[in-house]
Amino acid sequence: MAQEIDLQALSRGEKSAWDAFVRRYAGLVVAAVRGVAQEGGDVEDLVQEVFLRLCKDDFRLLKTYDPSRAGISTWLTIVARSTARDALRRRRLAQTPIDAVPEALLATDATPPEKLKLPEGLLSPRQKLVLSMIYDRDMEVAEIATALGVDPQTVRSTHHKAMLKLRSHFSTEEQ
Amino acid sequence: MAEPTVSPEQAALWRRWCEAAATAGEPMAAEPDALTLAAYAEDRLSAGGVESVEDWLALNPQVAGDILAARQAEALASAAAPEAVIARAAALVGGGSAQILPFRGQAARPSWRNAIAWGAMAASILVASLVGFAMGNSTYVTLIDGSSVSLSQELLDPPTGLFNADEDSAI
Repeated sequence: MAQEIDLQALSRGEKSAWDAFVRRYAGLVVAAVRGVAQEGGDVEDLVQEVFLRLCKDDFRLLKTYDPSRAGISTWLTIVARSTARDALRRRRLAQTPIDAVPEALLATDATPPEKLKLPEGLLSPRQKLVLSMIYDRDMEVAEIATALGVDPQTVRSTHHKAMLKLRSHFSTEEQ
Repeated sequence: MAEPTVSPEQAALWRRWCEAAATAGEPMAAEPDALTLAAYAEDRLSAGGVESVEDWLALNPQVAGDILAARQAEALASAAAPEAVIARAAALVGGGSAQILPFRGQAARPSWRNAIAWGAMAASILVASLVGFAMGNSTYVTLIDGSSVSLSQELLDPPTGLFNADEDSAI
């Protein structure tokens, strides 16, 4: 896909290259942004923010793209979604009056919390990620498997082993 | 193996671990850039790179959806976008570079024209001085002349009209 776009001409700021790039990938950016803006965000404005981020500061972000490390569609999807999420977060913050924030959230605790000890590497990064996707993001096993590029059975097994470790660790701690 | 059921006990275990990890001050994995996340989505990272990204993703699960979407990006790459969106984005980069026009250079003037210009300026100053001197001299002569006494008296005389007391009393 990247071969269709002259990335060097693009990073030099050539108008024709930019137009070709926009025409080629606008659909992808719209689809990526729509996935983030499901909660009523304005897709067109978010798409514009993505393209603005790509070309601003003399195409600084676009110049960081390296075709030898990842495909441009994959990279653009990541960039588009993170830009859209940041934009939505900024808008939410701008619309939240300080009075609406509970005081408990603004308060700072003067006493540092007591440090607990966790065995080094109790959970592997993959196990933490799987648990986080299941319990924090309510993702389905099939979705997690796709995201991690593994089969669903591996996800179930990872979850099971992680739970055994946690159960064992906390039951020992209580005794 | 059965589908992992999100039982309250398991969810509580995960919460407890998260709280313990937060208070234990576990070192935070550095945030990977978009290219690293894209490489992760395409399975192009080394084992160490994968661990580092997954360590970070576990603490930032909202980004997990990005990985899922990135894995399906190729399928969406040919999706069409509304023309209005394309036109708006294309307009972000202007056509061509701005042309800078130099100031028009001063045409070289021949030296004789310079001499005339300076000479004309000196002559005009001289004429203005002479006229000023002549006028001042004429005024002075007029003032010290005999007729100037009546003029000066007239100037110092009390005013007529409303300010004339004699006339007021006569009324």
